[in-house]
Amino acid sequence: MDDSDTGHASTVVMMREPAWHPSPKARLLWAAGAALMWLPVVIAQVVWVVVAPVAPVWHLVAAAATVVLAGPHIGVVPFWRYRVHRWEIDDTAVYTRSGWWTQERRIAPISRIQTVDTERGPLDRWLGLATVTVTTASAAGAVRIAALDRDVADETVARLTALAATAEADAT
Amino acid sequence: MTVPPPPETEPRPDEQVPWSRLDGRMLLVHPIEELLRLLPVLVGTVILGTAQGNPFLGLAVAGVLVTVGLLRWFTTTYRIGPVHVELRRGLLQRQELSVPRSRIRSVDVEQRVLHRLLGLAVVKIGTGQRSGDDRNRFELAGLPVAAVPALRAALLAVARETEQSSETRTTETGNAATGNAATGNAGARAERELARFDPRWVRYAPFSATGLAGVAAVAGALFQFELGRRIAESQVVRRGVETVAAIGPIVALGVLLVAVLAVASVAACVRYLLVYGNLRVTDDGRVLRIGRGLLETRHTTLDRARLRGVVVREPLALRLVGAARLDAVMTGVETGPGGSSLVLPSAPEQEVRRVAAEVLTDPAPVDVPLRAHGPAARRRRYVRTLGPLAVAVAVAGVVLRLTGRPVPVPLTIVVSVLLVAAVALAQDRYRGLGHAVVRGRLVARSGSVDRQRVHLDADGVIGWTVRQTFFQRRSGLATVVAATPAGAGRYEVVDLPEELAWSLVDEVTPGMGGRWMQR
Repeated sequence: MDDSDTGHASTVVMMREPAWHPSPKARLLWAAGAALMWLPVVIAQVVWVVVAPVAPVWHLVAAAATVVLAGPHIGVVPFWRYRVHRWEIDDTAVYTRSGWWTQERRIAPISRIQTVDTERGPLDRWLGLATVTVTTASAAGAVRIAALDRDVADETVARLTALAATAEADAT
Repeated sequence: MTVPPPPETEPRPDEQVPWSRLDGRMLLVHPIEELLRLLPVLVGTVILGTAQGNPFLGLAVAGVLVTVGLLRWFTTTYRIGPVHVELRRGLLQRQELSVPRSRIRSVDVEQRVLHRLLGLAVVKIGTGQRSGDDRNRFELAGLPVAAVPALRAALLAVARETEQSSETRTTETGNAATGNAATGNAGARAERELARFDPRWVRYAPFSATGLAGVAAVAGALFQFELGRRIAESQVVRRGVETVAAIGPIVALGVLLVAVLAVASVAACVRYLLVYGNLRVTDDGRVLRIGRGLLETRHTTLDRARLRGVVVREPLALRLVGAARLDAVMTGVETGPGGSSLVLPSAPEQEVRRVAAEVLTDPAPVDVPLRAHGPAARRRRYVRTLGPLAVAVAVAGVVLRLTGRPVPVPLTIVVSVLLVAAVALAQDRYRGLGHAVVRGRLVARSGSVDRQRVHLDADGVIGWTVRQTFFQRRSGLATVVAATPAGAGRYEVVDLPEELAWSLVDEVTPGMGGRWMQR
């Protein structure tokens, strides 16, 4: 990009992608989550077929719509997401990449961390995973590192907590 | 009335400070407020009672309300200890609020009409919590106005001291009538006036969104008092309906529209005068003081230590008449429509820019020309405004084709008008896009109907997000979001070329990219 037209003397800075992947089981976690979300819809359709077996065209339309929507949601999105999700921390900052359709790269300096939490939903526990949430003083500043192996998550939390404790201000 | 203990004394436990009550004059204010609050109920019972031949029913309800109001005074106590300020209130559901004085972020002073007549003021203590729960507001509703400036100064002084222990403590004495405390600190810091209300600004009032809201509020109030039903059933309306049938709906619609706009404009002007009349913004180099209000006054103190920037708001309607609004971006102060971070209401754009530069103590961010975001961003603006219209037209076309009907003439007129409007909107949205980094401040502008220009201090930024949707990736654009504890919490630089995204991050906050940054 040529800066000469605006007079802003900025050098082009690029950002390396974060290096670490989430747990390989993340794909299963996201697929299972999506499948559970679609389960009530499928059940509702089965009930509909049993209760009102007339007009098979509409049943087929509904079933086709479900397959078209749920299929990619369960079969494609988790893999897409797994390709995108990355994270890395060092002594100065937390850096993550997440999303699939909309992708976000977030960076938050360790010195501005307020709290570090882990979250474990039922599915996470079943797969031995955890999500680390790092909050800052800003509503927009929370950084989530999703679907880490449990020991990795615990280690990360311990490290971040120790680092954050040595920093002083949180800028409120 | 308790005067807060001089902060110079040794910190004692809060228990040694006796609980005190609100001003005795609140015994008059509370019952009246109670009656006004439940006026519809009262009116209802009076009507019901008269209809049933029992006029005492309304009287009894009024008696209950007055008693509740009186009890409110007896059940509310507060104390301002050396470490905490505490408030106990509630009749059936007791509530105890305790705020450490070091956590006090703002002290606002409000005078409702009754308070003003009786020489009272409401002191609102804010801790910057974004709970949004009105019940938990620390509000001392009813202190004598003469005691307020000293109290406010003392409350803010402790918070300030715990934060910047190097600052020498200030003693503030105030002019009770205006609530503007003059500051004496290391040789009397001069208080400078940044802006003063100009009655001519009222001409901008109809161009703000609150105009229509005013009409809605009036209508709502009318219906609450059951007047709406009567109006709807009245002879005038019935005759009106007959007239509409006679003159045709289009003319009637036009007349109605003009009438609504006229009423809305008048309502907006009245509201503007009442809320912002007597506005005065002063600066003593340490805090900004904003006082406003014609009948109901409100005094806000904005601590410069918590100031992280300003937002110049120039919504389309205001921009067309050459006006804008100014908000301060503060940490630890609740924000919202009419919230305590307002600096200037709708005012001439030049005045807004001048005051913005004064508040920032630097005219450069306000005047700097912004860097445009380029052809891809422009294309995206057009796609996003014309896209939905194209889809709607296509659907309409298919429907018409399937039903075999001819294209109605009004539809083509509507579509052409919408098309012109969409193109104008897209162009304006593109022209609004821009950013700059100047002397440690990020300047970003976006929007058309709701355009705002943010000037954010670099040290107010505590994190970054670079966001790209699928389509943004395809067109090589990215939206950069600066996270901050101040103001709205996040400010966006929309759709800038993706190769500039991290350069911008590095320019505003050098080194925040850490080891991942590659030059």
